[in-house]
Amino acid sequence: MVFYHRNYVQNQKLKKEIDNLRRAFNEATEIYFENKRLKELLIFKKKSPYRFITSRVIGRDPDNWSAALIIDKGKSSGIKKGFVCITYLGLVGRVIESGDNISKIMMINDPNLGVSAIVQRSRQEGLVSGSLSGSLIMRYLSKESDIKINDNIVTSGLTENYPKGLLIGTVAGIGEDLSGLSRYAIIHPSVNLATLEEVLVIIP
Amino acid sequence: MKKNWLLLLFIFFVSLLEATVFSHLMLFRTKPDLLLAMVVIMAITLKPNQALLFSLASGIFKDMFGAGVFGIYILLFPLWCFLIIKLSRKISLDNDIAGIVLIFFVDILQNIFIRLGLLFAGIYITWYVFLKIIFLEAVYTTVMSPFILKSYKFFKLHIKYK
Repeated sequence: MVFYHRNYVQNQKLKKEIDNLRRAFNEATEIYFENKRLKELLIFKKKSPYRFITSRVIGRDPDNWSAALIIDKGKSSGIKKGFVCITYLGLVGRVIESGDNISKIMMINDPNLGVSAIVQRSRQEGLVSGSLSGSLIMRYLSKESDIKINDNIVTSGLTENYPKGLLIGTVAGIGEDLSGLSRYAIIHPSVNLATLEEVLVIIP
Repeated sequence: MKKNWLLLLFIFFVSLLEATVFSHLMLFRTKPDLLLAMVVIMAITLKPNQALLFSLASGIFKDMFGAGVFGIYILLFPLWCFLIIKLSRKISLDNDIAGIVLIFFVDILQNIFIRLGLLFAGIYITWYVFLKIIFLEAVYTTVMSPFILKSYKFFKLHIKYK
């Protein structure tokens, strides 16, 4: 009977310890991934010629008809409307509203946002806009345009504030418009827009 | 007066929930429209003037967090509220299930409305994306609406809101 009670108490104690260790392990894993992400951002920040403001994603657009992020930095940190937002992997979007301590970013997969872009290999120009799905569309490509699957698409620098050469994504498919006058390309964005946690805002 | 502020705070909390927590609980990149569910529930349960006022507040919160055209939900939410008030005079919507079914149809109607707005603005969205959003959002909102209804009833019971 004495042993039973002793074992029972010991068992309860060990169970509590397991719970604590599991929680500590979860926290450590979370910190490890955060550290990894921030380290990559820092390396990119050091190598890049642009000046950045690093900010954390604190919310997303509640609407399904547009794609936006809410970040934890605003006018007080120097962020203004029109600034471009990126990660070390490529373009994310553009600041459309800036409050004192928060800003709203319209992501490139929003159909309201259009970015002038070029095919990195052939310098073929087009307009990239969102489609509310996981991919983007590059329109206004001429019928004879030199574009292939897996070509990199970068910003052309013609749209205000967007620096030239920012990676947008890679070509995943090519099609022809209903009119038959031009072609379009399906672009797979280089950034996973659904899982963004930290972003960099470029100060022009 | 204090109770009105508390209800406003509750609506704000729902909009925050939609903008933060449900961004991580997306179903095939689709989020539920919890504020629309709130508008339908309020239109059924509150007095007409109060319901219209709070649906307007819900629209402001939705537009505030969203990136689309500012004012679209400020117009749409009171419109749905007004139509539901009119409808509730013709047929009984006191039953919880009737309310939930109504949420499903109002959500579909709202998305068709927004899609038409986008079309007139020259923004092209494929039929696949349109149908995906319209159907999944309506289903997701309907599935989540009993939770909103329960929270709302719990809230009303605790602040004795009439």
